[in-house]
Amino acid sequence: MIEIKSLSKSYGKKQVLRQINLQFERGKVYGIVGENGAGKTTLFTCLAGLNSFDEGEIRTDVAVLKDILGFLPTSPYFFSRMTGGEYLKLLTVARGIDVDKYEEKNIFDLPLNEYAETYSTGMKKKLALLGILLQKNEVFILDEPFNGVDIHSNIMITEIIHRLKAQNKTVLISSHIFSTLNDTCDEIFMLRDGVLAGHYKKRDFGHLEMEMKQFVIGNRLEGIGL
Amino acid sequence: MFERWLTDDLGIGRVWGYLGMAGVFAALSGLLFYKVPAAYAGWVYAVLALSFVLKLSERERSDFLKNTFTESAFRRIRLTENALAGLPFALVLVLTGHWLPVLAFMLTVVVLALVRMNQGGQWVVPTPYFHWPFEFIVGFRRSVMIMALAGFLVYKTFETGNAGLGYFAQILLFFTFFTYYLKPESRFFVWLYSQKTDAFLRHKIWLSVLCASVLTMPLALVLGMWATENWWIPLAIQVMGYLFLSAIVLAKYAAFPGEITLPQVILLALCFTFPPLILLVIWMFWKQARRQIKPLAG
Repeated sequence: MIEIKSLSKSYGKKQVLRQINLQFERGKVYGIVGENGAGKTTLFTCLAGLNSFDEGEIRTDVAVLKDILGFLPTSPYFFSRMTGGEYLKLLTVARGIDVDKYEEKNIFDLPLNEYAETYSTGMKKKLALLGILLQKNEVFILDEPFNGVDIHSNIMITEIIHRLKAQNKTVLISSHIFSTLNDTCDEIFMLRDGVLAGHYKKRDFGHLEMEMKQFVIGNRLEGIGL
Repeated sequence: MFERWLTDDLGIGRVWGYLGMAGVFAALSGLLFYKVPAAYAGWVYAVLALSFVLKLSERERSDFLKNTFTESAFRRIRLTENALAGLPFALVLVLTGHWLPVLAFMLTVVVLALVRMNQGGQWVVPTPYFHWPFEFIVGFRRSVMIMALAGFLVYKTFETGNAGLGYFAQILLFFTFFTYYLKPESRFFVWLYSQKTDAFLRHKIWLSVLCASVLTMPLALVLGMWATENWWIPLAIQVMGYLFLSAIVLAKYAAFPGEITLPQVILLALCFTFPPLILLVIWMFWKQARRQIKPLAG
């Protein structure tokens, strides 16, 4: 279990997260939604330990959370002149995991012998996801996992999330595509201007979608006669 | 950008920056012409200079310029850049009377300005480092010309019976390895490791020594057994190479997540003039690196 208590984070004078309280249980998939700049990525990086925070605490039932945490950033970074296979090797070696044949684990049929920097956006995302899956993590933070991937991979990633849940892992996802959250999440938290603005269970997802539409669209489209 | 790096990152004025760079350039050029026999010195220098100028032709950089400027402006910019970057090297070659190498060098510099490099393209340069990512994998491919040059020098060592060339190749390899650790990686690639701070730093040093040994150790052994009266020279180069490599690995993490700082560079330069100082510098950088890495590695 992961418990976030009164977490606050500022970048200079700008407060990005304010008194966030959240709880994540094993075997559940959680969605984090919010507009650009709402604080989703900052929340993820603070939780992962990639970023420090000003106030609050993060409690877990494991000794070191980051050692069992797979983090998929919005835009994964790849070294130039490193192949997809070498990237997977780096991610597994870093966690002390020995993988013999990466080709057999290549569920997305990626060209592992080519430089990862030449991959398309979707392929990069899939490579980074494959990397954290090979690490055999217990907790997954997937920041925009569906961005830029094709429809087939979309189906594949959705199924991967279902399997992770079935294996009693904790998964946190952020996505701007509501249907993907609807398909995968047990609960959704809404962030607005760094504040936790809502908590929705599965049965309330329809209500959340309506609320989001209302908030995002409002009467803006009338301005262009639509 | 270069001047911003001098003033913002290194914290020195432009004039001092340029003067310092000129001094280092003159010293290294002098060292090369002093160590390498005159018959090859010009060509060795030209290849090293090309590997430097080649950095300006990198695909992403060229693509950015091409997308930003018109075709004719792009060509003008690239030609000017390459000419400016190649000029100091060409000047040294002219002053030392290496006419053929300077001609070949300048022609290649012009061609490099006009062609679009496809370094990220299809051909993946094989490296012996798959099992030990990532610095040497990336670095080896970035310095493949220097690796080839070192191979040529080793060949010439045994063809001409000149052990000095072999020692130079060994030093050249170590200096190239040092450059693999000059840029910091993203925080993600430090956070990624399940090792704690001390174990992480030890792992990084051990990996650098292991990877460096793959190419330098066989050369050192052969040179030691071949030129037996001077067996200690390749051994000394090897030991000093490891020590400096360890210091530079630690310097990178001591400055993390920023780039290696000017005081660190000065300390390392002082170690070249008084090598025993390297042990103190390693200890200092270790302490600083621990402090910098702890928030991420735990």
